Amino acid sequence: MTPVLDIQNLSVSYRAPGRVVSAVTDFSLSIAPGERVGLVGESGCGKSSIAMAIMRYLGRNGLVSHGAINYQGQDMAALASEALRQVRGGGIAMVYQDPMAALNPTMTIGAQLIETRLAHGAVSKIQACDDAMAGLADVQLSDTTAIMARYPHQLSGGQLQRVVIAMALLPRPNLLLLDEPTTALDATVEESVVDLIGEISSKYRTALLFISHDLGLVESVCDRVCVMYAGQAVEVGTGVSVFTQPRHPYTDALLQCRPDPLSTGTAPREIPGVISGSHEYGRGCRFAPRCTYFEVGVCDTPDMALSARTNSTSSHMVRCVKQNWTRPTEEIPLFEHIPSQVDKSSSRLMLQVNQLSKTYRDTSLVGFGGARDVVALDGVNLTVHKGEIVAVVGESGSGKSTLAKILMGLELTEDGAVLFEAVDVGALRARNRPRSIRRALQMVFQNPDDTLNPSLRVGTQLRRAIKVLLPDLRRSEVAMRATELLDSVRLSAHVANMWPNELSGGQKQRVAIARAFAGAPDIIVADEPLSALDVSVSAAITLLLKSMQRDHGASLLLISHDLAAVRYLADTVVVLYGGKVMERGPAPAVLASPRHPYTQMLMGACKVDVPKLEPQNANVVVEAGTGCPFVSRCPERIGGLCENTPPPIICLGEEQHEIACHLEAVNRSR
Amino acid sequence: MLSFVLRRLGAMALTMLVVSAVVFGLMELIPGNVATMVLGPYASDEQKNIWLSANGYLEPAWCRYGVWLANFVQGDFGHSIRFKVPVGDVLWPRLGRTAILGVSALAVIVPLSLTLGVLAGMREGSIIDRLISVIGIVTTSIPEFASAVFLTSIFVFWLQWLPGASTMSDGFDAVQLVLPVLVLVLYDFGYIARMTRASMIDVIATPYIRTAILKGLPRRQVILRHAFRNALIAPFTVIMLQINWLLSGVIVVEFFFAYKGFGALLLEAALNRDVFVIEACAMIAVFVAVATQALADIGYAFLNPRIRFGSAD
Amino acid sequence: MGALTNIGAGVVALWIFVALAAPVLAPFDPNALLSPFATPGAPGPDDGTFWLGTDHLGRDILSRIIWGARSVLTYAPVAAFCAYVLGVTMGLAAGYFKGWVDAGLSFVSNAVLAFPVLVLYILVITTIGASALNIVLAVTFASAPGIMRIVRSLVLDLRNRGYVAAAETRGEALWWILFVEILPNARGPLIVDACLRLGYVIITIGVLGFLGLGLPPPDPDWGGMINESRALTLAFPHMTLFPCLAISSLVLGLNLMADGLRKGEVRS
Repeated sequence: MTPVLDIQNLSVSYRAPGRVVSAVTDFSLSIAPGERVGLVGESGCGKSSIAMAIMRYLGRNGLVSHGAINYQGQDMAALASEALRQVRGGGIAMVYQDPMAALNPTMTIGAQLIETRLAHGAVSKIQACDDAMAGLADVQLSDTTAIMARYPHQLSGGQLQRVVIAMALLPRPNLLLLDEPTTALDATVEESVVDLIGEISSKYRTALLFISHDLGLVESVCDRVCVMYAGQAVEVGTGVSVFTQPRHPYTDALLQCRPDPLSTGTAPREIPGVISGSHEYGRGCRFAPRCTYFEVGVCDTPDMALSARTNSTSSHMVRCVKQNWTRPTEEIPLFEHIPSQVDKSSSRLMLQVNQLSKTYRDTSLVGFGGARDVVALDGVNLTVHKGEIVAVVGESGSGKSTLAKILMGLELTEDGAVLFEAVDVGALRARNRPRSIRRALQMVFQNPDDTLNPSLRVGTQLRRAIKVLLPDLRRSEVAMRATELLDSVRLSAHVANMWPNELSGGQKQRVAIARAFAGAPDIIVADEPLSALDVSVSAAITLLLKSMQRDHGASLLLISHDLAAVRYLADTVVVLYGGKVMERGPAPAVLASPRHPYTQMLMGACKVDVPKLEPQNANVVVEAGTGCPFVSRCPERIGGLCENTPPPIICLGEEQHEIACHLEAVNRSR
Repeated sequence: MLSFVLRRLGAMALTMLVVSAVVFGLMELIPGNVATMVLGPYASDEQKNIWLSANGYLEPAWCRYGVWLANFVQGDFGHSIRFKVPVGDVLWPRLGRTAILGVSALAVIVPLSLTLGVLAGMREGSIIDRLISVIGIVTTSIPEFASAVFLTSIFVFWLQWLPGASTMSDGFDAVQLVLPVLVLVLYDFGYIARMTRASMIDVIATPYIRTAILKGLPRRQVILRHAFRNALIAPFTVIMLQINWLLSGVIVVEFFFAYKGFGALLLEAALNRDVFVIEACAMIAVFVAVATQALADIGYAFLNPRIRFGSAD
Repeated sequence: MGALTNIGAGVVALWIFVALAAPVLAPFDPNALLSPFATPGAPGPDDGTFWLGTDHLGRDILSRIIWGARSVLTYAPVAAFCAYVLGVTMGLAAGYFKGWVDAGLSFVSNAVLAFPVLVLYILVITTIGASALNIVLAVTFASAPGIMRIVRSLVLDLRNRGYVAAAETRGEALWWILFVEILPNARGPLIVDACLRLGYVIITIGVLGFLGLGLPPPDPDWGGMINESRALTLAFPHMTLFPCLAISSLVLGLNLMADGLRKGEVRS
């Protein structure tokens, strides 16, 4: 049987001013009809370049420098423009990372679907319209007539991605390229979109090339997996074989960066070093500089090829000469997960948040439509003890970032109090807080690319933070402390003389952590410190946060949607939805046996398709004092009760595990 | 959408009110006595005072502002000191001539700059693109009075193809309109072309154009249905705002070519301190500018479904 | 494109040199009435030559252009600088404080921007009279709102950056946040705008001179020179052509520089 797609020895490079950057080297892959193949790797590994090379859409400065791509036996490079047009969309269709950007904002969904159908195959407009509606129904969108008339901005992210998938499928392509199709979606929506992709592929026998950085996702969808590192495929094989018996040290390391959030607190392992740039590739294995099993004279020999895994019946290929390495058995993880064992009755209460509420009022004079208030926080209670790590978990729109801003004095409370050392800091902007409090309460920000001022050297920024927070230090002491801090986040002293744009994302985040610890703080608030980082880097930063927190004896309030990191780091978990606490308790209890339907949904324990939390929904439902904010998405809602009555807070057992849910109360009363 | 239009019109009225106060206030500050200007330097103080009180000048300023504004809104712009007739009698014919000049200029500028901008933007970095960019920079660097001098030297002095003045003293003559329009076009088309080019380049680089190409639409359809529609939204606003600049250019051009339009009137009035004419001209100029801005905003909202069908964010 | 940027910078540098060295370079006293209506190249007194001819009063045009460069390159940068000081201050305040400060400042600047620029200049100059100081004032008043708009939109974006929040949480003073954390990171677009705006101020001063609202005679001013000889263009084009070339080349130089800077900005 001819493969749908056959890539032979593909090399892709980009022309940059004065040099050529190699993105993909010697990549081969064959996809059989109906087969699902996953392409995994971190950013910069070349996986998107492969997708664009397949579509013959590398842009003006990109070129296929070697190799060939055959679609159903015909060479893509040789296709004339009309034939190429037919293959694009008709033979190979694509689904993109950000569905909102992928759709034309000034055309209705219907028009965009119909033109796609009309471009492939002679059909009447009426027929195309019918096909489009059927396509929307296929991706489980209800009320297709209404959606046809909508513009992209009127739909949620999950709905839009379904539309994009429907659009891709309309001409019945043989191969679907999915480029990070769920990265821009919320966790609960991701689940259902992935399921949908699986179903569609079986229904129409469409082959899939699923590109992702998320190993778990690829594992759940694909038959075969290809792991990429620095522009090369380093391991190819069936999903089971690759994931259970990884033979390339990189695959192994990558898998260990992400412990299963449900297993008991195994520490993520970091991969030391950083991915080298294409100009730094040595003669041998590209992973060599970061590899634990590196051996001089073996791993640095040229022409390292993919070879069949020894003792294997399946076609499991590995690009590693030392593929029979064994992981040291007595390996001591860098940081073991030692729960802080905070005894809340005895340890000091550092921070107390009481009935915190905040509503953003729409005050814009030229707002469109009526003024809309958005409830960000609604009666949130929270405590942080000395040395404790509290994780606040929730989707976008849950109010978790607002909480961080209020704690840091970037926003003011509306109602309720934030008590720190007997001062209500919630009513004070950062500028008006006493210096002792500013020193004690510091923050790590989400985006590593804007956390440092690009116009000042790293050292200048670090010394400034120390000087402002600890004004009694002398000049030489400030400089010394800056060097110590850099050392403690494992950056060499010469980083101080560098500009922020010379650092990688991970290095920037390390500097940001060093800056947060500048004044020996008591509490660190970290707002999604990992979300913008690659898998291996995020593991390293997780470990760093833990060690810094432990070494400095600080408390940590971690705001995150990354449950694996939360599982490893946190002592206590607080689940936020629509500005209200849904569930709270010790991390092992909440994550291993979630009791609130929302937490269960977050943990992937139940798979129900639900619309994304829209601000307008939040507005409708979370009117202060009325029912549960989660009611519109809750699979187990009790009609008549959950909409109108605020859920009671119920304690489960003695371990300070509590949820806000009617369900539990009703069950108990039975 | 309707509430947006109403709000935008309300903002426009408010701006006009502030502008009227600013214009009136500035005119109040003009040194010298109105009576001296009207009655001549040899009038006695007594005569001046009689004239001042007869014409309401002894009232407090805010009172006269109220009267002036009320009359103005009803179309009574006051009396010209220089022409000794109601301002309206001088103003309206002048305005008509300027409208002819402005509309002719726009009729050339808009198609020319959109075409050049789209051509350049579709092939970023090509010879055509570079050529258009350089021409645009050169023409926008030459002030209107300078290009008027250059063009006059070439077409009137050396080639003797065109008349050097546009007085239209023997009735309307389209040939006399050529040079003034050419000067306005030269100075103004570059900016719009540049904006169109930038907008086109932005749109072509968007993911939705990639989607359109990769779903196999014919190239023509990608350009016409997907790129154009979105790429022309930004230049639309720019064109409307450009009318504000065109009004400035019109003053220079009318002055240079002795075209009896509204800009020349404003300038003459300013040089002669003919207060009511200045006020009327300024108010009308601002009104045109503000009205086109409001139209630009409303049109933008109409072209952009994100605003037309409101959204929460 | 790099070549064009260099040409632009070269032209601007040349004019700056001319302005600085005016007393040495100018062959005649710019205001001396020598011999009227001399054509370019005609011999002048003391073995001198009227390289660009003389005007209707017999003043040497080359000398007037050279001294005119000095006056335009004094007043235009001063006016642009004042406009920048005011506009940047307003923009920082509006963008950083938002709310009522922003609403107020934006309303004022929108009202000013509602005027067609030249109408505004005519009104202001008519009111306060034509003098060097008044022209600087008028340019400041009329240009600041445009600068404010640019700065405001840049600040609205920059103030949401993590490093600004970090500075706020450690309690930095307002001036530090505005002038160390925010303003330096807005410099790229502002430098490009400054270049363009300086060119535009030069045009404005030229236009005012051309309309008879510029620097008072007899001192040389490019716009004024064109105004005085305007009626004679058809008979003696040299009287108006050369000042026009002077102003056009200076503005073109600045615009080419701005274009090059903008492209560098996009690339980095």
